[in-house]
Amino acid sequence: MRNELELIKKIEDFLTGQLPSAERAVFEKEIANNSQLQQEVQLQQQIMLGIERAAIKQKVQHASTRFKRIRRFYKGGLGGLILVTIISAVFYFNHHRNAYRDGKLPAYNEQGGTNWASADSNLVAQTFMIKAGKDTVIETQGGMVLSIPANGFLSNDGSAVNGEIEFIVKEALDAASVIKSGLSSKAGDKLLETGGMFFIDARKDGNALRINPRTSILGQIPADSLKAGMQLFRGERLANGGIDWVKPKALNHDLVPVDIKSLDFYPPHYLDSLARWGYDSHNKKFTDNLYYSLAWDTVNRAAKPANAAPFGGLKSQPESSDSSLLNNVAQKPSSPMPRDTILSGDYHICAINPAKIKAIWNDKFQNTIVSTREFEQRLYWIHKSGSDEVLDMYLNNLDKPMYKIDSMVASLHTGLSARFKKFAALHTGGINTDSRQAKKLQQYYQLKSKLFAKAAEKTRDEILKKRQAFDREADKKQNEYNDENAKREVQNFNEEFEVNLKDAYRQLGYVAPNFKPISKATYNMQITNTGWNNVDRYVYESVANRSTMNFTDKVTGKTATIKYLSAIFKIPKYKAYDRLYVYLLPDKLSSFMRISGSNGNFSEKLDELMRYRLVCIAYTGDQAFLYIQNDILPKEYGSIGLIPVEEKELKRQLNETGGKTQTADLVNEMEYFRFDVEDQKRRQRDMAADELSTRIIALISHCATDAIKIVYPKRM
Amino acid sequence: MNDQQIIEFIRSDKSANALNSLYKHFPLMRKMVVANGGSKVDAEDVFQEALIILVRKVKSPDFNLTAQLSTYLFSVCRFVWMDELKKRGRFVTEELAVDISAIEQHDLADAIAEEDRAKLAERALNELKDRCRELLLLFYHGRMKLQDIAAKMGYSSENTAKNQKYKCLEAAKLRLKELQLTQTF
Repeated sequence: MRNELELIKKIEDFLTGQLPSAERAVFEKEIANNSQLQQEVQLQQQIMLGIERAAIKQKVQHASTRFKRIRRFYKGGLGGLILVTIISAVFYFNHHRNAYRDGKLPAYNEQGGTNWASADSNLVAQTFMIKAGKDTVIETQGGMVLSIPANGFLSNDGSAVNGEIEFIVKEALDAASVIKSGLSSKAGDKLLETGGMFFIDARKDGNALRINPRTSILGQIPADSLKAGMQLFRGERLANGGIDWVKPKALNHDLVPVDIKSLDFYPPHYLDSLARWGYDSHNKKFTDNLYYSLAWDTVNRAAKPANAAPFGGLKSQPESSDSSLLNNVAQKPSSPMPRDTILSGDYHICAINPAKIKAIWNDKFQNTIVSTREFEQRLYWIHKSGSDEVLDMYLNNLDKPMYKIDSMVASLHTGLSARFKKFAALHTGGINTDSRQAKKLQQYYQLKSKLFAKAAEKTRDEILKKRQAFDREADKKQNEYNDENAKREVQNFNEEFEVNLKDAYRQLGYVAPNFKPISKATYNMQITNTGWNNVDRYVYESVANRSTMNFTDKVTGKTATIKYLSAIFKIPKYKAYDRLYVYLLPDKLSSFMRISGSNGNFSEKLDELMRYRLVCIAYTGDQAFLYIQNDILPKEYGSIGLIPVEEKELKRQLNETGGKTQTADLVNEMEYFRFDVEDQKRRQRDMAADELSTRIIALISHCATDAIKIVYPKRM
Repeated sequence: MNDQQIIEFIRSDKSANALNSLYKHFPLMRKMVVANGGSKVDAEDVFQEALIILVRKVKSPDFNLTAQLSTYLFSVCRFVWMDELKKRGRFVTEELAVDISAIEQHDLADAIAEEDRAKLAERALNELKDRCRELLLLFYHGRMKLQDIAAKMGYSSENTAKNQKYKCLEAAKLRLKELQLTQTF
């Protein structure tokens, strides 16, 4: 060794403490006195620091790459989890006896030819020894993951390979290594954007193997973000040492299932519209019930084709060549109906049947293509198209990659074609669902959506029947009430007439005839020209008009007077009550008189022959208010204040007031009013529900809505 | 993996596992750097630098862990980032180092200075021929025997490899000398 190198060795020994102690002391002195030697020692020490740093840094960077890849697997869901479960063989670098030893290339390339591209020699080969009969997953230095199935290779004559085989990978996954290795990203004259380039070869005893056509190698290349339209190109070596990229094949990216409950399967703008209308859109129970209640049973409804279809109809001739998909689609009946158009009530609804959504939006469909953000995106457009067939396509093909179904939709449905072509171009893969499970889920979907639809219809029918029953009951009660009212008026009239007439006779000095109750209706026909009748007529008119009568008998010259005098009742707080009733209970009548009025002003003419009792009853919600006063005089009662009472107390007080029949009538009247209040509430609720359903149908339905003319009332 | 295991892995030169485990703290450190005016790239650099310092510290015989390793790593990260901000002439809030003791700060400043010198040497090494670099790394860090290195790298004999090793060291020293000179100007 030359002197300089001897010195370097000595410094190294000194630094690593390998110098014998005697020599060491001498050398230390030397260093102290020789600044040049000092510098040499320092430099060498620094280099050692640098070497260690470089080594640590290498490991740190490995850790970084690994960390990022794991994250990507979890985030981007390249399917890493599925792969991990099938790892079975150990892999290792083998530095001896491999085909691509020490940067040399074997005599023949993987296809048996002798031509190599410059990239072949520029890129370092990574050789993995794998067992031919076992599933193996390898991870390259660049982070590429390759899954090689058992018996994934065949020898050149097509026979199976046993024992250990060499698996060689060369990779240029980032732009820098692509350029350094002399690869180009050109396909013919077209420039490609590369997501990474790699070379794989498998050898047994130096002979190239073929990939078993019955199996294939699944490869994953790490990427920071997924781009649409990435394809796998085959490299063909050119005579000038370059590589041309040919025969592109589409790539898949696998779906990541998420919790199906976290997805939104409602029609577009369903939730935000509800929120805008003032409903609680966060209450999933409410929003679910409301939406699912609109479900209809296709079988029971008369279907009627819609004239206009903004999203186009299904083409009659599918263009896709994927026959397995076609078979599933062909299950739909060949109806002349261009789209799912349902006659529901008075409306055509062109929308996805909520029963179908209910059938899929549950735990059964967790971990299928349905429970993915990607499906949620598609469902948005399916809702917009209103086509159940499109939805069925996804559910009848749960075990297929999503992009295949996307392109089916694109070719079958003109209105969705553009949008779903774009989806298909993303080449979204599937979720590993075996076909047996897919079949089961499909059956579940078909069965349940039918059942849900039937249930919804049944519920609707039941509600309708109940409603009709309520309506009939209410009508009946109202009729009864009206009859009662009419009867009471006649009765009151007759009784008052009798009282007044008797008194008129008394004043005139006659004996009153034995009086028979007469009805208002028949009385008019009984009028004759006798004097008695004259009195009767005057009294009759007085009672009918509630006006004072002055009658002088021509025979006796005597005068009979029956006075009607006004009384006014003012209730200043009338606005505080939902309902307000004012009654007079005359002592000589068997029933009560209801007094009309408005704005808290009520007035009635009082018959001077009777004593009256005033009863005011009001309601605010369920709270009753009461005011009772005896001996009403013909004057103005300026400020009547009602007092809140319990319902029982109200009845009790009414029972103590007035005669038996009067109270009974009054209590009956109150009971009817209470019923009416409840019934009005019921009707309002029903109307509000109908109105909301109508709004939502208008919101989700996308076909010609000429049948629907909705004037939105103000929200109650 | 607990702190003690991580330390043992690093000391027995199996730091790969230890580093994989430590890397899970990266997101937190990244947050800290980004919150204090750094980019994501800065964050990664800072974290890697901190890991290198940590590995070296753990390997040194007088290393004594007084807190959790992650706490220590976080301190190192903050200090490294503070130092980097100073180097860039940026305003530095001392808050970043508020709970790092004076002794520790002094210690870390030394470590960073040493790392700066190591970085220069690393640069010199990177500018060597690949084979030279590999040889040096295998010998000094991989602790491989010259005999095996010769076999692996295709040298005719152990002696040739040894000779080659010194030649590479010489070249590295020369390059480092040049780099030091250019740095002083």
